[in-house]
Amino acid sequence: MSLLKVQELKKHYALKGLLNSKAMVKALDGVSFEVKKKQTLAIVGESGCGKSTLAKTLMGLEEETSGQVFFEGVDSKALKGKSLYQTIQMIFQDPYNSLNPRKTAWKIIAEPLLINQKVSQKEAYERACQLMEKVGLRPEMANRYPHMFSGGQRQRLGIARALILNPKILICDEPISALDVSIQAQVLNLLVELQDQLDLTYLFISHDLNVVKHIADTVLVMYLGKVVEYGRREQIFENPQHPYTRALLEASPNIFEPEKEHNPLAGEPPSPLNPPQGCAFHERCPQATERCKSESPDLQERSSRMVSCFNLGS
Amino acid sequence: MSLLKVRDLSIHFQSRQGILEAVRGISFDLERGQTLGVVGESGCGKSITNLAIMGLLSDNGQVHASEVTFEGLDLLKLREKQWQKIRGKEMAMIFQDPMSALNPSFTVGYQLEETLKIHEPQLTKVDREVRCLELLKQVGIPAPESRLSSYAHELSGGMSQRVMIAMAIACKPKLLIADEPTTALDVTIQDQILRLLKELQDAYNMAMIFVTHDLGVVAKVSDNIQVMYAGEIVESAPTRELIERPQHPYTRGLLRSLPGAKETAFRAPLTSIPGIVPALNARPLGCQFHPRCDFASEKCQHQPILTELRDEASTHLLRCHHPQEEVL
Amino acid sequence: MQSNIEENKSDYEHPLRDFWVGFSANKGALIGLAFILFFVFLAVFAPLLSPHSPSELQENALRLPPSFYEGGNASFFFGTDDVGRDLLSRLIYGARISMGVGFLVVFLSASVGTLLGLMAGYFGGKVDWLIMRFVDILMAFPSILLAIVVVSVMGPGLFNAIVAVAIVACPSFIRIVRASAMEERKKQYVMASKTFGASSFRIMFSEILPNCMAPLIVQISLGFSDGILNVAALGFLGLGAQAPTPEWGIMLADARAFISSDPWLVTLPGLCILFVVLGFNLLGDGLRDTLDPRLKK
Repeated sequence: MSLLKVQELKKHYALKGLLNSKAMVKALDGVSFEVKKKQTLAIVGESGCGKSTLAKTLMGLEEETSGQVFFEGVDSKALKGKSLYQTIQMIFQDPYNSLNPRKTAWKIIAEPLLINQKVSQKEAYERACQLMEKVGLRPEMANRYPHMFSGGQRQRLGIARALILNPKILICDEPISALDVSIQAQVLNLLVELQDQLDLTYLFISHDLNVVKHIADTVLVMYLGKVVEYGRREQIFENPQHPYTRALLEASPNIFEPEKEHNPLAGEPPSPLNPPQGCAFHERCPQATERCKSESPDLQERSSRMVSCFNLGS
Repeated sequence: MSLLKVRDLSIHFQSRQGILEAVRGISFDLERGQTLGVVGESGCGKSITNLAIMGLLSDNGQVHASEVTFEGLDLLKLREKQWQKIRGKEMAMIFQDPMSALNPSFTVGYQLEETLKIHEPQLTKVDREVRCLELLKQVGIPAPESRLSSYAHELSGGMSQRVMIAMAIACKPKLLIADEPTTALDVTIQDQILRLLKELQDAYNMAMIFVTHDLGVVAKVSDNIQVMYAGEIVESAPTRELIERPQHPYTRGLLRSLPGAKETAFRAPLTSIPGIVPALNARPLGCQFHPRCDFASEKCQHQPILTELRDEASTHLLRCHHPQEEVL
Repeated sequence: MQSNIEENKSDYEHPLRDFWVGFSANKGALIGLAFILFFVFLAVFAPLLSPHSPSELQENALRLPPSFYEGGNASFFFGTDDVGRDLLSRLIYGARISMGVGFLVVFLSASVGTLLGLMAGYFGGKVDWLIMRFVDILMAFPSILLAIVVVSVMGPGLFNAIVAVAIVACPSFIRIVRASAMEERKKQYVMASKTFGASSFRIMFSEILPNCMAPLIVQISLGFSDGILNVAALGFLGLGAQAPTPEWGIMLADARAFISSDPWLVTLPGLCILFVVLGFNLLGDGLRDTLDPRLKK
């Protein structure tokens, strides 16, 4: 059984626009996937593709419009509150504003514990110190404020905070993209180590495909609220099928490989306020046909991964 | 003669903790039509150096150098009036955050026209409008006529950066300084912008200084790469040479820490550089990198000098007592 | 795992020390602080410092000029008023009242204002709309006029005057706290605390409020001066403290008749008000310069 199963998840926002016509923004439009225990699912896509809405909806910060989320077979609706927080936690992108500058390190880490469990301050302090050690920070620094830590150290504090309730799943929202290059590897290594030690399952949101390739077992490529390709790491990286996935791979710079000859993808992602008819990608797609302009393709299994495109041959 | 020649540039800042040396001993040449990539982590001085070259440093930053010349013109002696003639015309700059670099209360067309008005006063109003349209077309903005009357908030990040580029190239500058121009953009948009910059560079034979923390991006666009650490150049070489045969332990550490090398196995620990960059008010003696370096020795207490490697066909400069020659 | 521990940042300064370095460089703020400390000292040790009781009548010494003038009496340093009370003692006791008034006004308006401002800024939407319209209405009246209305409803008296002035002072606290709360609400640490189930109450008071303190402290300092000034004005109009309370505003009002014959009777309480208000304003500006990150060099 999958640890996390998401079925046809939709999140639509109603926008009160001019003339009170209610425009709908389909931030998530029927997203399905599952993740097995101890695995990492990477969620890839450009800004506005729905990655962060997905994270917020899974964390219970946003109510889904329709669709279901199961944690170990249990509907997330039955898991509200404490048991949800103890199942899934989150690491944020920006180590500077995801920690309250007026709280000491141990208080930041112990906060979830103090809120959700009946523990004394002393116990909470000790747990926080243990976790600091686990994420590679000296417990002597427990009484310092966030500004006294470097960026990488702060990200470690954020990781410790996410771990204190012993969650099974961690959502990592661009956890290293705000860090300096020489620090990124340290934090990435730490995440891998912790996954092995604590049997964690990661949802890894990232735009850096080199990082995704290094850490993810499965990859979910999103475009304008929809899944365009979903499959195992090798499949996606070695034999991408969807034209968008291919374009992403061509565009993402890898210093170790000489640049492949390619034409940059034209245009920009369409506004979710005014999505195009048919396939959301057709305006930028080099292979678009008449059909793509009117019909929206479904996610289908092709060459052992799921992909939503009409022009794949058979 | 080089387009830009910099010798022994150092920048000091007056602060509450005393005088801080943000950048020191920077020397390089830049030829017409060439791209110099500058790589380094935050606080390594890469942005400040460029602000100094553009004469845009704030008042409490003092620039010292034995030479900074642009087409033989001594930039150190320029007065603000003279700077204004050069900036925007001979050399231009684009920034990381295009949204805030555009003035939100004026239209794109107005801001573009303003640039032309200042530097090419001989143009008539009609000429300027034609030129504005041309520029927007040239930087690949769809429906340029309607974009002229747009405001910054109506543009996406990629479009704003294109407008900034249009403003920068309006007077066909000989040098374009691009400070993390694609960091805030999505991957496919970054790809487009990098391509655009390359095309414009070829069209105008423009030299470019491309500052970034992203080694992958810098490798795509640069002819030469300069690696900066704690305000100093530690290594500088032609792009492929630097990536394939880096010799400074810091450069090597940076490259090794990147995921994506073929040899790195799935989920295998990446090599990382221990420690953090020294604070400006607590610089170590001697080599700036030695406290974090695996190869540090007694010798490293003394500052190594940036020297050219012998037996090299290309210009490979290195500031290290213990160059590592083994291939990565 | 120990191998990749990053070294500690070395350029650390304790926040309080950092604050003091910036604050003490501001001469005006230091002068303001000195004024305030001086008046606080007077207020605290009033019984020990004042030579006479503030209400003791000297029947044979009406309207004596200060001792350093001709006809002055050494035992009444600043002279006496129209019913023969020692002016110096009354001024010293007046400091007590002014300080107390300032404290009460600020305490009332800051606590109500902070609560409403936090709610408006954090919840937004309808709550924000409601609170901000209330603020708009309060701000539409000239402040002293509004205070007069409130006092005339509740009846004159020092405490009622304090309440009235506190109500008038609320909007500035609401606005300032709301603005910072809206700024802080967007930050990821607020979202982070939601992900582990912190309640709205906890987020408002334990996460957001500490980060709004800088502008709040500045406003508290300025609120002192406004409060003191407004209560003195109400006293002057006869709506605040009642005689024989040694309140500077009333002293000023009572001495009006003698403004040409015995100018010190008006000048001295006026100067006291001036210096206290100036002190708090200078302090407030200094605090703003040091605490506001946007003004930091």
